[in-house]
Amino acid sequence: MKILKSWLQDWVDIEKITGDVLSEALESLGFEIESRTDIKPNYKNIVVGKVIDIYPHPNADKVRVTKVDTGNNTFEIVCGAWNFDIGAIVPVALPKSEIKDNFLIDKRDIRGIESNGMICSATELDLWEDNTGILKLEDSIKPGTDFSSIYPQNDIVWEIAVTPNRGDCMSHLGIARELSHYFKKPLGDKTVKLTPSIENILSISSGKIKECNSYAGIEIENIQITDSSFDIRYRLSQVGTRVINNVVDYTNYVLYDIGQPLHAFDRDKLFGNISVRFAQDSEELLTLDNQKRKLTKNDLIIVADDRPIALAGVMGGLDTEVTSETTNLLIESAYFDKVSIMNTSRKLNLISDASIRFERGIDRNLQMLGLNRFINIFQNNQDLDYSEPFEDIKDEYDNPEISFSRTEIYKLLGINLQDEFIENMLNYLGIDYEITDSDIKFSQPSWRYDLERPVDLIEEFAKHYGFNNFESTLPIGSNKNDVGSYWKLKKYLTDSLTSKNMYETQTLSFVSDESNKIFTPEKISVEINNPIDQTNKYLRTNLYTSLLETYKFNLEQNNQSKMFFEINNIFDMGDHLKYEHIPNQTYTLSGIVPKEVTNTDRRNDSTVNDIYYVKQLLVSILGECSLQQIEKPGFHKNISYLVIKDDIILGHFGQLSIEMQDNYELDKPVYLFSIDLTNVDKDNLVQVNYKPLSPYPFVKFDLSFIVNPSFNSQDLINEVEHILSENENILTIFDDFKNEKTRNLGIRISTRSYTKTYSEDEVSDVLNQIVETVEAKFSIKLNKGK
Amino acid sequence: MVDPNVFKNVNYPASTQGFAFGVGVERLAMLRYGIDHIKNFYENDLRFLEQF
Repeated sequence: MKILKSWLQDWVDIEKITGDVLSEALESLGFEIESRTDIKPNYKNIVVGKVIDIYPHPNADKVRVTKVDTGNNTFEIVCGAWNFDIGAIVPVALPKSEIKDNFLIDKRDIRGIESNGMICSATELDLWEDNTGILKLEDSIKPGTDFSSIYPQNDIVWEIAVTPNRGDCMSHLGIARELSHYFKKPLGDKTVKLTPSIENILSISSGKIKECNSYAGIEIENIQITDSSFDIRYRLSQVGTRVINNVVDYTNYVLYDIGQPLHAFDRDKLFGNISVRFAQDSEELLTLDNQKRKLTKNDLIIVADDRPIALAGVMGGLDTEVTSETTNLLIESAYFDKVSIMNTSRKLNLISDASIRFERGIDRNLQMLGLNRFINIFQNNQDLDYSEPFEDIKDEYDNPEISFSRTEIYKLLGINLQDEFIENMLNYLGIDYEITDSDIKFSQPSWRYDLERPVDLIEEFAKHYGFNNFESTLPIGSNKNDVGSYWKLKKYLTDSLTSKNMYETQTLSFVSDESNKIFTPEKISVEINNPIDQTNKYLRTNLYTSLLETYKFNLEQNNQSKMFFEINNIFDMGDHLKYEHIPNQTYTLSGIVPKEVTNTDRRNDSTVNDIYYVKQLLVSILGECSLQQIEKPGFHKNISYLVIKDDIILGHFGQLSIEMQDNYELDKPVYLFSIDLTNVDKDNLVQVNYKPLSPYPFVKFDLSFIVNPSFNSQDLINEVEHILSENENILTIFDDFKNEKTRNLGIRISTRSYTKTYSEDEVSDVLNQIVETVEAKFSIKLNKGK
Repeated sequence: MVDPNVFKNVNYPASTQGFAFGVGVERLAMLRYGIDHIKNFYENDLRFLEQF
């Protein structure tokens, strides 16, 4: 909600208080400031002029020539607007002045006549949107007046957030009431004495339902629909409302002023008794926006002799709306039930300034003041004939007195409050109370639905005491909490991977469905109900695409090919492990390892990684794992493996497919890995199985086997380890040669006995035993060479 | 202040009371290091990552 300093000034004297102090006050009172704009009119050489003559342009028929009195001088100005006559008071941009967007105005020849400046519209002066022509000012302003001087000086607009429980603060009056205690300045009273001069024609009733507590109205005759006054249009446009005409502007004005929504009906289109009831399921209403609305029995409506004329508190009907021909008015000022208005507003997706206020709950005693303010403002603009305001009020609200012990304050806030502070605050906030030595008794004002319990009032004390005024103390007691397994694991992974020169990234979870489909077509993406960005309205099912984006971004922007990882949740529509009704989320670690990593030292050569490096990386954090080749979408057909530990599939790694590499326009291959952390227990990852060191010399031999392309080399290592389980061994794959027809796998075996030095015969026995066993077990052949 | 209804709904004893407030970790880091824009945290520019 936007509020204006000059408008608040109407209710509480804050004129001399600086913007910074006011901002601090608003924040301290619980209104978060979303923005603050200091209005500093900077109009140079723009003055007020009076049009004293108008005559046709000899060479152009779309413009007229005017003579304008600007106090000391009279200028001839050519003007293209037709919405004014002789005598109009207008803003004049004299030669060498600037208007909106620093547009320079100077003398100019317009088809043979020299125009000495320009008569301006509200839009041209950057005031508000108005395409009807030039801005007409009040007749009372003297020609020659500097335009800046009629514009409020040093005004400020704040956009503030009002929490939903504070419907009473959705107006300048409401905010001013809070400020009145902060600055200890009394709240103004704007009620004026009305002098009715006509009889009521209509009768009104608040109906037989409890959802309309009070329905009030006033009839006004012989009005003229015009522009509203400059001040009103200035204020409304500053708080973000479109200016329309006097009647609409004044109803809006009262809403922002005191928070009471008003509705103006054209009285000549109404008949009989105006009342409130719930609609019937078959009824329809043509609303102001020219839409035929189907009503249901939950919609609160206004009726004239039982005919629907408006959706209560949400939107008026087209048939009874105020038009430029309207001369007689009925102004409605009512109190409707929060829930009914909310239901209708949500169902029809019609959210207005009025409906927002009704939903949060307006002051149930404000209806007559609403009408009073309307007449007051309208009267400043034109003479009015109006009726006695009439109100049908049920007032079924009882206002129980709430009482509590003063020790409650200390219990909740840890401070003792002086009587003076308590009394002051309650007086300024308009809360009725009684204080004794031991108790405080209060009753809820008609605008404060949020004060239901003692704790609500005590919180109010804390806020007005000022949270900054509480003394800072350290927490008492032992604070040696365990960070827990979640943070332990995260810290372990982050420390391990950053120590291997990987960079940790954080990316957003919102992606497109197409992006999810690249790597995980088998998962159903979770669609977001209210996406921030229509192109990314799904939750990601994997971390690969954001890692690739990050990699590519840095490759292009910084010319650096580096390794990255991310630890985050991924989502899909599968069942959640723990909870019903929510989509599945998997806590996941993923990383990207490019084949060539940029070095920034003086050698400048890249470090070259391969798929074995990725495996080592995973083993270094997860402990020994076994692998199984598998084809995965987005990955190279042969270079893609499942990571298995203790018979559980922990994840997957592989090389990005050539096709995807082309799509991402990458010159060199990249490797990707992804580990499901759900089953990863930090404390049971790396197990050390110590083997004593043998004092005997090693024997070493290389064996080369012809295997089929999908053979898993780890199986070979495991089997050899098994055969030589009595020994101390170092087993490595030293060669893996593939072409279209054959694959050769070379294993280097280095082994020592714990009991003896092998003789040549013994070595050849061991060798034979290994070859025979693995040939038989895996159906592979020893490559005996030529 | 935390509304007593919140404690009631999670079955905390009636004597429980508390204050609730929060600020994003990014905001704290921005204050600590003088980081000028929150989008830096999610852009993952190496020039940013390398500084921490």
